Order: sequence, then C-alpha cells, then structure tokens
Amino acid sequence: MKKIVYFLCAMLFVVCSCNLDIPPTSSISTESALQKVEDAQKFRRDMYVTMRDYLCSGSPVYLMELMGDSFHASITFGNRNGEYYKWEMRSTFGNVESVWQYSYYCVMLANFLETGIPKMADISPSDYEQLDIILGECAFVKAYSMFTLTELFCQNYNAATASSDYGVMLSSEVFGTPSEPSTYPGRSSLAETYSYIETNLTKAESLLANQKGNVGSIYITIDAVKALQARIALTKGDYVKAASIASSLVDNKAYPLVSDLDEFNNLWTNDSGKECIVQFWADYLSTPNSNCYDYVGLQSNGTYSPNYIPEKWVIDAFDAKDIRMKSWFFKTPVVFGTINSNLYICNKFPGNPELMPGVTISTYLNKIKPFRIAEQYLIAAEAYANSGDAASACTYLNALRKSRIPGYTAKSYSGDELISQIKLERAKELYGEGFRYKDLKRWGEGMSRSIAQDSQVVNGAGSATTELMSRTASDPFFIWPIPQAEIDSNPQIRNQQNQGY
Amino acid sequence: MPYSDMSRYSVRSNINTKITNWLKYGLNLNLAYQRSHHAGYSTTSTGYYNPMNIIAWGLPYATPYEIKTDENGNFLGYGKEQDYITDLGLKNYFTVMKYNPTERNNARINGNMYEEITPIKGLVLRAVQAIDAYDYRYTSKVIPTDLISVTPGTTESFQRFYRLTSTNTAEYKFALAQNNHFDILAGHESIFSNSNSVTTSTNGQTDDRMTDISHGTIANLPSYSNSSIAYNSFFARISYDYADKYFLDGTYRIDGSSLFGANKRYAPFYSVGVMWNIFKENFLKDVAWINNLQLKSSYGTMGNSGISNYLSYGKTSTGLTYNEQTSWYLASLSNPNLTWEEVEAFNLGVNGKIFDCLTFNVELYNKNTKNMLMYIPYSYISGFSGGWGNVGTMRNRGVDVELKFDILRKKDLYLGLSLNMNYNKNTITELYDGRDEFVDGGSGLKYQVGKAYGEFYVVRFAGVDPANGKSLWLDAEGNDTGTYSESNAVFIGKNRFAPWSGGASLDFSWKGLSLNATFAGVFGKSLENYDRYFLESPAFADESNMTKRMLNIWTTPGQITDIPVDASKHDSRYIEDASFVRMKNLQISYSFPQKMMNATGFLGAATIYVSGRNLLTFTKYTGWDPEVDAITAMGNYPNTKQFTIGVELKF
Repeated sequence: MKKIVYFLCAMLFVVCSCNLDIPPTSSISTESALQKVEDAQKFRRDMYVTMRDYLCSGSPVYLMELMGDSFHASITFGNRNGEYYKWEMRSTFGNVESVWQYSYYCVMLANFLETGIPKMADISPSDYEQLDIILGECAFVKAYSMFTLTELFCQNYNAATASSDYGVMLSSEVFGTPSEPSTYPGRSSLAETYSYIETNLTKAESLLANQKGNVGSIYITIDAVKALQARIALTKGDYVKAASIASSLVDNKAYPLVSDLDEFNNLWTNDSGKECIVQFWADYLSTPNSNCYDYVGLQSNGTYSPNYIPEKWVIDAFDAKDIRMKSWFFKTPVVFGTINSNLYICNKFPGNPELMPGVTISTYLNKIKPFRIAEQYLIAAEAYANSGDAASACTYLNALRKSRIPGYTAKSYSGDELISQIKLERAKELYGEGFRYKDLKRWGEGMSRSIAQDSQVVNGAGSATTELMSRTASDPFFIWPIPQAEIDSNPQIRNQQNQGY
Repeated sequence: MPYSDMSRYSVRSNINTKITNWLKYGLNLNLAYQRSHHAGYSTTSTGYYNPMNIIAWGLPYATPYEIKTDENGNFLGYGKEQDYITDLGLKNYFTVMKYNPTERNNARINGNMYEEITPIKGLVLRAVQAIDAYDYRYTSKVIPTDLISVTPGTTESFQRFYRLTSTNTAEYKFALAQNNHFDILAGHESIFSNSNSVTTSTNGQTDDRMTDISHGTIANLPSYSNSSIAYNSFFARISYDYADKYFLDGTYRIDGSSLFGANKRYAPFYSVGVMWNIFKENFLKDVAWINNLQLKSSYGTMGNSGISNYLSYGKTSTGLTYNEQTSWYLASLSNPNLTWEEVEAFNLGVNGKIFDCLTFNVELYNKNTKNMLMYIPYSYISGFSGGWGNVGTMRNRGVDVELKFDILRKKDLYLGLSLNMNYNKNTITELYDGRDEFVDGGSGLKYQVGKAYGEFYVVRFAGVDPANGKSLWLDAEGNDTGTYSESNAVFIGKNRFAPWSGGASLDFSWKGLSLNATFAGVFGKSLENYDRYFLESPAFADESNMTKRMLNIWTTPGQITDIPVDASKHDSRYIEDASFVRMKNLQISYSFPQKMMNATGFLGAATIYVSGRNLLTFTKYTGWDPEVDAITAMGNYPNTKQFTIGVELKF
C-alpha cells in the first residue's frame, strides 16, 4: 500500500521539459516567406510603401527646400531642422541616416525578390507575367534609390573624373545572416554607380514594357521609367537623351497640364492625380509623411505662426494671375510671440481630407507625386536649351506657362536669358517638391538667400548665416556626409567619408 | 500630482501541512488588484507638458491661474484655473492632465505549491509548481474639448501574462565515518511564460460625456502581440565537508532557452567552491577574542539571458497596406548562433566576528563577462541597422566590505552600526570585429578597449572668451578653439557609473522604542544635468525662466565669467559630479510591552511607527536628483520625499 502511495506521489514529479523551439507567431520566417506569386506581391507592396514614405516624402523632400533658398526660418522656428537650414549638418543626424538606411533597405528587398523569385517552387506559367512586372519594379526601385543617394552623397557627374570620383555602395546580393564586416562593399566609383543605375533602368524598361502609362498611376509604369531616365540624363548632363525622352513623354499628350484653378486646387488638395505619371496610393491608415515642414503653422486658437516662410523672391517671381500663386500661397496676418506681420505663406500641401478624417487641424498629408508631367516640360526645355535648340526649349517653357498663367502670351528667349527663365520656372513650378537644393547643386551656382518678406520676423535678420546666407558651389555641404553609423559598422567605407565632415 | 491616484487590494495565504511523517505539502497564494490614474503627459518627456519642465521653465507670470489686478494693474492675487496660458502660447498643463486621463488596472495572482517526500532517511524529493499571472488593462483618452490635440480619441489595451514554473529536486544527505558529510542534489526546472496583448483605439469622439472606445467615429486597426519564452535547466550539486571544518562544493548545470538561436540554445555552466572554517580549528580554541572566522573561495560560470524575445529569428512581418492590400516587410536578419552570455567569476573572501561586537565580511571578486549580448551595428547594405549577437568581453574587479558593530548591547538597550562598501573597476577588454573602439552615436559614450563602460566621451568646454563672450572649447590636443567640432571629443575621465558605493545603517532601541536610520551613497559618479541646457542658455532666455547664474552672462569685453552669450552645444559643460549621500530611510517606532498585549487577550503585538524616506541629501549636483540612472538627466522625476505613519497589529 505504502509503495502505491509513493508511486502516486512520484507522479507529481513529472519531468515536463519545455520545447524550446518557439518561433514568433506575429511574423513568419524570412527563409520560407517567399513561395508563391501572392507572397512576391506582398513584398512588392512594401517596396512601394517604403519608397513612398522614406524616399519620396518627408525629410528627403522638405530638407531640399530648407537647405535651398526657398524659405526663411521664422523667429519662433525653435531651431527645428535649423542645422540643415544653416548648413551645419553632421554625419550623426537622423535624417542623413534615414535616407541612406531606407535606400539600402529598398535595394536589399529588391535583391531578395530577384534572388528568391527564380527559386519559388509553387508557380505556373500563368504567373510569369506578374513576376516580370515585379522584377521590373525591383530594377526600377534599385535605380531610384541609388540615384537618390547619388544626388545627395556624391559630387556632380563629370565624365572626365567619374571613374575616380566616389559613388555609393552597390549591391546585388542578399545578406541572409549577420555577415562578416570584411564582406561589406566600400564605395564604388561614380561611373560604376551611374552604370548600375542605368543598367537597372534598362532592365526595368524591358520588363515593364507592357505596363502602359496612365494618369495618376499608383504603380510604376513604362512612362515612370522614362521620366526617371530623363531626370537622370539631365542630372548627368546627357542633354540629348534627356530632351528626347522628356519631349516624347510630353508630346504623347497622355498627361495634359491643368489650367483651370479649381481643377488645379483639386490636384493639390484632393489629389485628383492629374498631371501625375505616378501618384502613390494612400489612405488614412496607410499615410505617407508630409512634405509640408510646418509651412502653415495654424494654431489651435486660429492664428498662423509658421516655422518656415517663403522667400520674397519666390513670391515676387509669380505673376499675379498665376494659378500656382492663387493655389499654393496666401497672404495672412501671422503672429510670432509678440510680433505680428502680414505675410505670404506656403500652402502647397494643404492636406487631403480623405487622409485625415476626424482631424480638426490639418496634418498636411497629401498623396505623393514623385513624377509630374510638368517636370518633364522643364527637363525638355532645359535639355534643349543646353543642346542649342532654343526654339524647342521655348516651346516647352511657353506651353507650361500658358497652362499656369491665364492670358499668357508666348515669349521667345535665347542664350543666358533662356536658361535663367527656365531655371526660374523650375523654381516656381517645383517649389516645395524637393528639387531646389539638388538643382542648385547641379547648376553649380552656389546658394544665396535674399531679403525676407519681413526681416523682423525671420531668424537672424540680416545675418550672413541665416537670412542672407550665401554658399559657393564648391561648399562641401553641397555633398551630404556618409552616415556615421555606416562609417562605424563598415570597415571598407571608413576612410571614404566626404570632404569637410 | 493632480489627477493621479492609486488603490490596491491584496490577499495572502500560506499553508504548510505535514500529512504523514514522510509527506509534506504547502501552498502560498497571493492575490492582488491595483488600479491607478495617471495624469496625461506625466512622463520624462522634454516638452513643456512635463511638469518637471514647466515648473523650472515657466516664467513667474506664466501661471496656471488667472492673475487678478485692480484697475491700476496692481497684483491682487490668483483667480481660477485657466485653460490657456497666453504668455507661453500653450495650454495650461493642468488642463492637459485633465483632458488626457489614463487608467491602469492590474489583477495579479502569484502562487506556488510544493510536495515533499522523504522515502528514506536523508533523501528528500521535492516538487514545486508555481504560477505567476496578471491581467492588465490600460485606458487612455484625449477628451474632445482638449484644445491641444488635433484628434480626440480613446485607446484600450489588454494584456495577459502568465509564467508557469516546475521545479523537481532530489537531495540526499548522508555521513560517512562520522565526520564526512555529503549532500548531493540533482534537479530539473522548466519555465514557460507567455505575454499576450491587444491594443485598439478609435478617434472622433465629439462629446466629453461620451468618450468610450465605442463612441468614436473612426476605427483604427488594433495592434496585437504574443510572446512566449521557455527555459529548461538540469542541475546537480555535490557538497562535502569534513568535520564542519573543510567544505568543498561543486555544481554543474545545463541551461537552455528559447531566446537563443537554433544552433546554440543550450549551454553548460559549472562552479567549484571551497571554504575553511578556521574557527573550528583547535589552535583557535583558546583565542577568546575571535568568535567566528571563515575563509572561502569559489570559481565558476553563470549564464545570462537578459535580452528580448525572438531576436535570433529572421522575421517577415506585415506592414502598411498598399492599394488596400497587405504588404510584407523584412523585419530582421536571423542569427541562429545567438547564445548565452557567460559570466566567469572568481571570489575570495573572509568573514567572521571578533571581540564579540564586530561582524565582518570582506570579499574580493574578479568577473569576466564573455560573449556579451549586444546589438551589433551592420552596414546598411544588409538592409538593417544591426542585430543581436554575442560579442565583446568586459571585466569587473572589486571588493565588497560589510561591517557590523554592536556598540551597546544591554538588556533593554541596543545601539548598532552597520556599514557596507563596494569598489568596482570596470574595463572593456574586447569589442566586436577585433576593433578597439566604438562610438555609440549621439549618446556621448564611446566603448574603448582598456576603458570603463560608461565613461563620457565629449568635446571639452573651456569657458568663455573674455574678448567676445563666446564659448571656447578644447580641441583634441588640448588647445583653445572657438569652433565646436565633434571630432574634438575625448574621454574626460568622468563616468556615469560610480566606482565607489556604500551604505550605513544606525539602529538604536530602548525598551519598546527603536530608531533606525539608513544612508546610501555613491562616489565618483557623473551625470549630465541637461535641464541646464534650457535654463542657462541665451537661446531660451526670451521664452523661459533662467537660473540665477544667468546674471553672470558675459556683457562687456574683458569680463571673466562662465556664462557665454552663444547657444549651448552638447559638450562637457553640464556634466556634473553626481556623487551623493542620502538618508534613504528614518524610522522611529514604539512597540507596546508584551504584558499589555497579554492583558488585551487578543492582540499578539502592537507597534506604531513614523518613517520618512529621502529626507536628507548631500551632493554637489545642482539638478533635481543625483540618483538618476542615466547618462543624461532631462526632466526626470526626482525620488520623492515620503512620510509614513503606521500601526502594525498582530493577533
């Protein structure tokens, strides 16, 4: 009897070892994630979300304006992004790291799909068409993200020195597990970087050949590939190529310019998609970042106190009848602490009510428009002007102005006058969209701020480091610093930091 | 703090029974329920809505109350609370708290049960089953009339946690040839824990009286998390002593955890220890002034698994939708080799008691932490900023001393003093990838082989240029420079961790009256008092209150002062000596005499007491509290002074 009791008690001592293989339930293993077309589609959508949120909206856009001559900081701007505005940025800054990080995330994701798709077991021939589109998008994304970095972190392209100038790190492989630091690449040459970008775009062009362009497309189309090719050719100084691609996109008439004020407002407020070769999809649960860096500053008590105020020369450059002036700017009393003024403020990104339901003060969220046909008019004009075809250049310039300024009569420019008119039009048309700093760098004319709308409300009135800041084209800050995190983790790039940092 | 309160209810029960002379059984059970309300924004944030900041920054006239004046503008006093502080252009922080209420409640059960069998003399089989579980709810609201927030809304969060532990041991004690005592133990322990939570919110509530989650007009997707962790351990121990004089002790264990990579979940650890009880030796028999004396030493390894869950997996998670369809993103790289951090420790100590009044314990230690669990930065070419791995080695060397003096020990009178002291020297001995230094970007810290973890690495502030009132710094070579550059950062010989720490406790009792005072102190600790960045910089002089030191700001050429006219940089100027001695606790109590208790017939004991915490602090640190455990103090809530009056009754 006693033995039975012992036995029963011993039963309590059940050695119940736990199973230690407990994978997470809220995520899946990357090794087995990509098996069928639907899986590839899901990863593909993340490429769109990442491009939209980290490369085409937010800081990569508005910093290009703050570092240019588009805005003056107000007296109450509290040094928000002041290090960029005053050209004092450092390699440790989060926004410098962010664009670097997400560009390489995009490349890694594209590489992951490019290596994974051919190995997928569960596919049938009917899937090939979809997979080709995804692979085409991968090539596009690799080109777009590496071009984004090249514009910021490298010097201007010069064919004579490109093979010895620094480009960026390039990769076509996937790092599955923590790799040895010795296997990380260093910086390629600028020539190799452009070759990588162009090769990927050529690949995208052939894989996306059947993705016909459509107004306001939420996906990359063949027209988006061309639009990027034109932008890159212009940046590189390949004017013949830039003119030919941009003019073919414009002449196709698939993306008519808007000339009616209401329709124009609808484009910028409600994101109608007009003029857009691509307008990324968004809804209120999946929103991009705002391109408006507190340009409006509407307070809860109804007053305006923006952090950044449009420069006077920008306001002066617009014709009073210009629909862009009417749509993007308004003059209003502003309050900065105890000082009041009456200023034009920028409202180009007023916020789409569809993206911010229930919001009492706008969060300035609009759908992102990375490629608009208006830019292609300007590319065509600039490229033709630079390749000696002033007549064609004027055609594209006048066409754009005609749609923006009611009653505009075509003008004929030539020589330096033509170039400066095109540059001015570019500053006006693409204002706030993240081109200004890159354009100034590309043109090699330096950056000079000029007298403010009202000097008493701008930070550092009269100062040569703020209101009247001026930097030459050779200023090292025209090239961003390689993020410190990259320098610290990658031995190959350790001695490849840009000058001046 | 307004709009903050807490209430707690708890029930405790302990049962121990001896069912037969070979079977024992016991049960401990704790049940608790706690509910608390917290003022919104009462966090360590850097904004104006952190009360610690507003009380320092707020200009004298920027009060939460209406200022009453007569017709000539003379101050009459304060009126009622206002919603908006016009001078700050901000909403009243009390209003912010009022309109951002939060409630937390937590129901907790903590219990364990054991069964113990003694089948033969000396052999004890013991099984313990334990459960620790809680159900936690959190509600936070932004009330519709709140003027600050753009969107009113309500968030509800539910979390359930449980941990099951099963421990089984068999212990056999026996003696051989009278003086050889053996104690052999073998056992096993498994722990499984799970935490599961759902957070969901709605926005668009329109009326202050209808603010439940169901009253919103816009629903947001809920967030969900589920995390399970398991441990298995197998262990054995042999203890031997000869005649209570010579002790030898050996342990061996294998620990496994689901936290680690598939290739290396289990790791073995061991230790050996010896002790010599000198006091029992014959040659000390006649030494009257030694009351106890032991010499001991041990060497062994231990595992550490202090990391978050699922770090070894290469994860794919769902991201934001695109075109209303699911997206997947790559969330991390896998590391199947992630494994236990190992601490290898050597100890040597002596303890005893002499002259019948001084108890002492002195211990020297040397600990090497190997395969440290650290976040390793990767090149972004990998797509990630980094991941967890086992890298680096760190050494801690030091000494612990504990002393206890019985100064007076009479029948009804006792006076005693206890002191303890620790000195620790920390050295980084190896970093990842064979490198000898690594700057932790932005934190003001740098890891360097041969240096201590936590030494400040910053640009040295060198005062004010008397000629123009601007800041001066030292460059890396130690020369004055008027240009701030991060490349001039150097180790400044100050550490956020104190090498010296200690405590003291004074006990006095006379009849039923007793007094206890405890002190704690650390020496050699530095802390960046970053609150001063806002209080001693001309950059903020027009919008917030300043310290009196600002009266010394440079005004005329040639003036020698330490307050420059330009905006502050993140340099060494705010790093202060945060060594301190603090009276942590002071308690005076009185226990009523036993005779009186017996007379009541039902009371076993009755004590009344008054106690105070953190009543006195001695420090050179100028911020709120030197006891902040961080590199930088900024808007941190200080330790509170507390007074307690209590009565303790036993039946």
